[in-house]
Amino acid sequence: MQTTAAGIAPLNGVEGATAIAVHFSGGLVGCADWEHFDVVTDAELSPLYLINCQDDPSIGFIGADPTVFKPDFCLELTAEDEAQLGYPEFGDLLVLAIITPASSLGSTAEPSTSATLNLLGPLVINLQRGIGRQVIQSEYTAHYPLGA
Amino acid sequence: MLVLTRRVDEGLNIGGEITVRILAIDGDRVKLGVVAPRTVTILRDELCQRVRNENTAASIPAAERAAVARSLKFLVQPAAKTDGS
Repeated sequence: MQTTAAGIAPLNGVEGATAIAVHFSGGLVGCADWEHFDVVTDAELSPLYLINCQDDPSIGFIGADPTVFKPDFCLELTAEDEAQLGYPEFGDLLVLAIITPASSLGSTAEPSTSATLNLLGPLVINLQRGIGRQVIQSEYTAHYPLGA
Repeated sequence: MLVLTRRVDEGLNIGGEITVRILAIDGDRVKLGVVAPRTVTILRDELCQRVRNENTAASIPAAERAAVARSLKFLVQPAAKTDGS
């Protein structure tokens, strides 16, 4: 399945929900212990999302629909991805790329101007089933600059 | 870790359904052929490492997470900038 991420339903499009529990079976890539997350947004945060790990509360991310920053971002799911996600309908998918804040890069630059977006490993969530998967998109960078 | 020595045109089988074959060796480059079911995702390992490292780097302490998100919000509102460059 190859689709653009444009038009994917926002989280708050699902019965007004602003938080959803998502199970990433097997965890995130290289982080097998991080399986259960709460994905949260509200009017103040939107279109950003908080992605809070329930297995280790010290772990959590900020995510955004990658098309907000890169309108031509194109997601490609493998057969294994689709199976893991429960063969979702296109409209049930939420795609979130994780933002790496500048301070985490050990940079001395102005923090919020050199944050980057991880387009290499976006999180894909089936909102109807509450299941997610971090999928690797080898055509894209892990450090897409924000606010350039 | 299992360590095996193989020659060109030899291979190995993993779990019955996955076969890896050595197709060619040229200096420090090895060309591999992989036969696996369509449902198995095959990735270059350095991509997985890169994503793992980025996951770790991107985590924000719980106490700061919402504040950092608010501080990043201007990035998604480019229309607020008066300077179009």
